[in-house]
Amino acid sequence: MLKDKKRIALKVIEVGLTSILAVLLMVAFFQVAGSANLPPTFLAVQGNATVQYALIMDMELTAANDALIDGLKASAKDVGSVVTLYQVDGEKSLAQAFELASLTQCEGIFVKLRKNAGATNYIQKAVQSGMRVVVIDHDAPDSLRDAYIGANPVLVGKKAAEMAIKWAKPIQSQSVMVLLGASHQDATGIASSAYLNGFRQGVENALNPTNIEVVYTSELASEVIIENALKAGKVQIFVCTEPEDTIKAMNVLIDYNRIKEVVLIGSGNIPQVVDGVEKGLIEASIQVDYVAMGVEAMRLMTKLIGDNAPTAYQLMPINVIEGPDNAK
Amino acid sequence: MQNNSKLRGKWHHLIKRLKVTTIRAKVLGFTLVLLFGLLIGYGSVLFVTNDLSESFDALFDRSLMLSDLEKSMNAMEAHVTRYLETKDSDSFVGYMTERERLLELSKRLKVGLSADEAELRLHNLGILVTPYLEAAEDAIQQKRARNIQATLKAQATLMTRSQFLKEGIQGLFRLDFSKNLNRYVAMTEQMGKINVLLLWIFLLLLLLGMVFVVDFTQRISEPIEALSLHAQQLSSGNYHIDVAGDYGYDEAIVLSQAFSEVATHMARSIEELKDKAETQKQLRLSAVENLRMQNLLKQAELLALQSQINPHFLFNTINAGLQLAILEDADQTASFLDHMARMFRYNIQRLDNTVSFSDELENLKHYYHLMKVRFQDMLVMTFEVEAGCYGLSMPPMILQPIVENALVHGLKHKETPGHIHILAQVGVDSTGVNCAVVTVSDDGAGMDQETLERLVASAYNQGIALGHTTGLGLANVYERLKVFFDRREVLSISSELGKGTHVTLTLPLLGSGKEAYHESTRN
Repeated sequence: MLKDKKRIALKVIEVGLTSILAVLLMVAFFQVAGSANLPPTFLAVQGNATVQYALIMDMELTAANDALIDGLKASAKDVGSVVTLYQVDGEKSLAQAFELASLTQCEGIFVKLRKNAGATNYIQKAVQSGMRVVVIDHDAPDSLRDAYIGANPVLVGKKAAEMAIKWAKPIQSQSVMVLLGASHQDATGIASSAYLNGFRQGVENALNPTNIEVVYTSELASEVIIENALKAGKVQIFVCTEPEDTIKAMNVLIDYNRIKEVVLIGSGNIPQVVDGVEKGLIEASIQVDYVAMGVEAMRLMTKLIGDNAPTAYQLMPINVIEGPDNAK
Repeated sequence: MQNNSKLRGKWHHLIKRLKVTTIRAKVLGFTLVLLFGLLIGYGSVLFVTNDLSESFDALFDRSLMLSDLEKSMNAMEAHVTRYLETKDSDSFVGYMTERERLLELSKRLKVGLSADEAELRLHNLGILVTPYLEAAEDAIQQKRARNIQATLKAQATLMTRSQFLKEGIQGLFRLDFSKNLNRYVAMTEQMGKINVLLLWIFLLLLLLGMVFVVDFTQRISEPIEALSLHAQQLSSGNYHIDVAGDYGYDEAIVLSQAFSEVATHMARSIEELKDKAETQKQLRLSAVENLRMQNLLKQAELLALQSQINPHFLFNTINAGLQLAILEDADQTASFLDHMARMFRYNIQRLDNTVSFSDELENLKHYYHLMKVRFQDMLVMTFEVEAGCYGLSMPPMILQPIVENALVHGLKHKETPGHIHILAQVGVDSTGVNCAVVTVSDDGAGMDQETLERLVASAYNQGIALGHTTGLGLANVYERLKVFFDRREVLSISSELGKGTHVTLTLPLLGSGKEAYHESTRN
């Protein structure tokens, strides 16, 4: 009896071990097979695109720029083209970027700078050398660019003003601070001027008396600007033109526990901004879909390369994300 | 239908052949499993290491190419610069050599427009080599044309484009490094996982091997141990063993069956040998008994011969005496001599003859007549015989010696008349055999227990105790009865001091009569 039990136990152990072994062998097989899922190495994937474009942007990568790049690259895949990114931080690098675009036989250039107008000469040279140039977000009207795509900055400003008016508290006088972010270099920028014009127009008639202060985050960090303003206690409405600045402003307001007292109109639709709006920490966010802008820009360029004559000026729609009415 | 049954038969045959029931099949099966596991493990390791090796090669392939590019560029620029300074033909040759190398590299670099950033950069580097070389060629040509300004301009352009390429190369190195690092980490992680898996697989294989070895050796040794145990039993004489058991493989079953058959054959053979030996033993004993009987007979004959002068002379003399007695009208003497002659005639026969009980009685009566003359009224002998005893076959000279003993030892010194009673009855002994139970009883002196035991011992120990008339003692009587009837329980003696002695013969009947016969012979 004992012998039989022993024999059965041994058999059970044998079967058990064999089963585990079989399972492990299968796992090992799949692990080995999965090694094919490692990222492909050099020359594992041959390029098969036919057209190369250059994208010339500022060195500072913002959420808007990231979204634009995503839109361009995604649509590039669809049309069998590739986009090479050149980031510039000055005149020299700008010149090099245009030259490299030419030397690497790019058929077209996308230009999105804080001040696209500053690249007018280079744009002209590129156009004259046979390349197509599409200017994005801020126009360079004096250049020979083939097309422009972006939101109308005047309308963006007006929309921001509309939101400021809507959410402003009913007090006698309002003080508004507009923080022009990375895409606005200085007051000489056309887009910056246009935006401010639009904003002023929107505000002046509705909020009175209104003090509009304009600051550039390229000069001072947005957190410092907000902090100083809060300490001074004069500003009731903050308007940010960049998503990064919007988030920083929100955080400062939270830190100073001034959320309920101050109106914040932001920009963009990145997750933190959307979350802030939904929670009522940001009253509204003016959003231009830069992914869609990238896609549209590629579409424009493809038409240009195909010698079709697309519209030279394409405006992108402006969206607004608003918070709940009873948020604050 | 027939086809179906044929197929079924073939299928069963195949299954039977595939069944792992022999040692060879079991070992083969396990070895195959082990080898398969090792093969998978080794194959996995080989595949992964091969793959990793290729990956690692590829990791550095691009870096090597970029490094070559940079070296060639530096070399070419050095040659160009030297040529522009000195118009040295060696420099020009060097320039041309590096130019060719760069053109070759450029072709390799142009991998096509790819969405992958690194590969796109690489392709662009390959494209940039062309204007770079154009600038170098322009500088050389301007130098040859002795156009200094143009040469300087071309040289500046060359340097600018060289800077583009070198910055591009460095940027790609950085990009590759971070990608390769990630890839290396991923590959190392995967390798680690596979190593752990393989370790487990090998450990399991080892464990499985050990378990199999334990199980296998047990299965091999179990039936052998059982068989050796049975062999021990066999050697100790136990041939009735059951070797049936659930053995895990055919060879053990065959062995146990063969062993069982051997044990059965051995048991049978040994039984036969035992029977044979028993038979031989019986024959030997019988032969020994016969020899002893013959010896006894010879001794008895010898004694008889010693005690007899010449039987013929004796007969003739006695007959002569009888004739004389008749002539002289001595009736008593004639009668005495007649009884004597008859008795002597009976006495001198061969002791290995077979007589009937009635013959013995007849002889005993003759003896009684003779003794009566001597002892007169001091001796009374009575007979009580069942009819069934008359037919009893027995050896001669049995009753007379016994009665003689009774007369000599029991009644001789008795002062009052002594009685000897002969009782013969048909009975059954302890084994259920029909017997004639003959008792010779006297009312003489009897014996004490010690004397009785001594007498019995001497009778049973085949002592040649001499009789008084015949020379045949009780031992001789007992031995002849024992041999004749082939049994030891033929004679028993009981006695009580002062009361008498009883000698009882228990003699198997081979056919018997039923009439009772009682005769009291008194003078």
